[in-house]
Amino acid sequence: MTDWLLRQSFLGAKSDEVFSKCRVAVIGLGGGGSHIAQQLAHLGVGNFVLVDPDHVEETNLNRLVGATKKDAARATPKTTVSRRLIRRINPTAQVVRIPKEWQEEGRLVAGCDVVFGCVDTYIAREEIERVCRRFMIPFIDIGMDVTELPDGYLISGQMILSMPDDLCMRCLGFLTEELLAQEAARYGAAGGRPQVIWPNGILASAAVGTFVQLIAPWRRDLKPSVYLEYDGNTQAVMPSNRLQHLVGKQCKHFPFADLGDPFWR
Amino acid sequence: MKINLRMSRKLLLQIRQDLARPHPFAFERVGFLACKVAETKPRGVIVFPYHYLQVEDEDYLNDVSVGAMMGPAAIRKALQFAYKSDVAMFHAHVHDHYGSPWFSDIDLRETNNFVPDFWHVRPTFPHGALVLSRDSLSGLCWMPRRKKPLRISGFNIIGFPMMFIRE
Repeated sequence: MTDWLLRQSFLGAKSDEVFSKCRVAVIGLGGGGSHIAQQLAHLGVGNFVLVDPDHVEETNLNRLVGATKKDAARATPKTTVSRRLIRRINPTAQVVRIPKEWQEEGRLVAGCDVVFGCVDTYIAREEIERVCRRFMIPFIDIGMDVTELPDGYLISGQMILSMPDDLCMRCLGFLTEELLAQEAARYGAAGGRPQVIWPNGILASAAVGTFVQLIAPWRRDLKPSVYLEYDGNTQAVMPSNRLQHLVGKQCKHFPFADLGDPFWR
Repeated sequence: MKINLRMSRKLLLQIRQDLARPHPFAFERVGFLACKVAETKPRGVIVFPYHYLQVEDEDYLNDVSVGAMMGPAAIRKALQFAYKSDVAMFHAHVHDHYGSPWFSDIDLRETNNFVPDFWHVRPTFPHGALVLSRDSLSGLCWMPRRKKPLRISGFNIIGFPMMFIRE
């Protein structure tokens, strides 16, 4: 076991090797994705594909882990900030930056073992899930929202694990045609993409915990969390009630044989 | 070029269950996996087995010099499936031990003989062979226009928990 990972040796005698050989994509390196990248680096994940077309702005500094005033002044790409953060924790980590839309380098993402989605829209989530299903990649999505109520605001969020050959985000009721169609009107009702650091941190931690449950479980009978809901007003993270109605159900939205390149030649 | 294989834990279990069944006279069983394929960057190919084809009892030859010898009908059915379904095809068998398995000389000789036959029906696809142990697996992949097979460098078994095997 590598010295700096000794305190997590309960994750398995060879867990350091598993993490170091794992190749992970983080799509979206804002408030959620930057937290996830940092935690994965601390875990010892050795290979990263970091995707975000944006650069740091002053208004990101309330939540973007690793970003500084200088980054905002210089308009540093968010992928550069996360790479710097990862390398300071683990200098041997291999980091591929994609400072553009992930679809432009979809083949790099397809080569990853696990994909984290930290994107703002339902449409983006649906696109990432579609690709992950086709390339048999577990997809861990997080998102938070702030909704204005008559007497204040509601902070909420979710963490979803979409496993190939298992329930998808549509099965879980998280994605629906109506939602996709009404997205612009319904998402971020409190104003222009409201985000704060602590819900992102809680959801990012839930996502990384699920990742560890998936690849280095610390109990034999452990099953990864599939759908966690976050109520930011009570500070509670709970398995979604929807799961109890889905026991034994199979995904009908992604036929299992729809894998790989549709037109391999 | 790196070849990787991604397969669901459910499918792997199905393969193991079939290959563990006793045969009336053969010492072991073999099977085929229908696979989809994708390119990845940089210079990689991923093979996705999605359907298991068991070899019927009557499609084995009674040959005591080997653990299992497929008859022409077994190969023909696999060729037919590859042609009809437009897929890659991988042969599978088990070595009954723990740890990383590898092909015997006889395995290599036989797979070298019949795997390239799949190019007659699906010439653009890679085809190959897998050998499973009790807790691991290894494989060879014949890429189109390459005479020698490439070793499969990584396996992702998708399920709870995930299993990664890296050569």
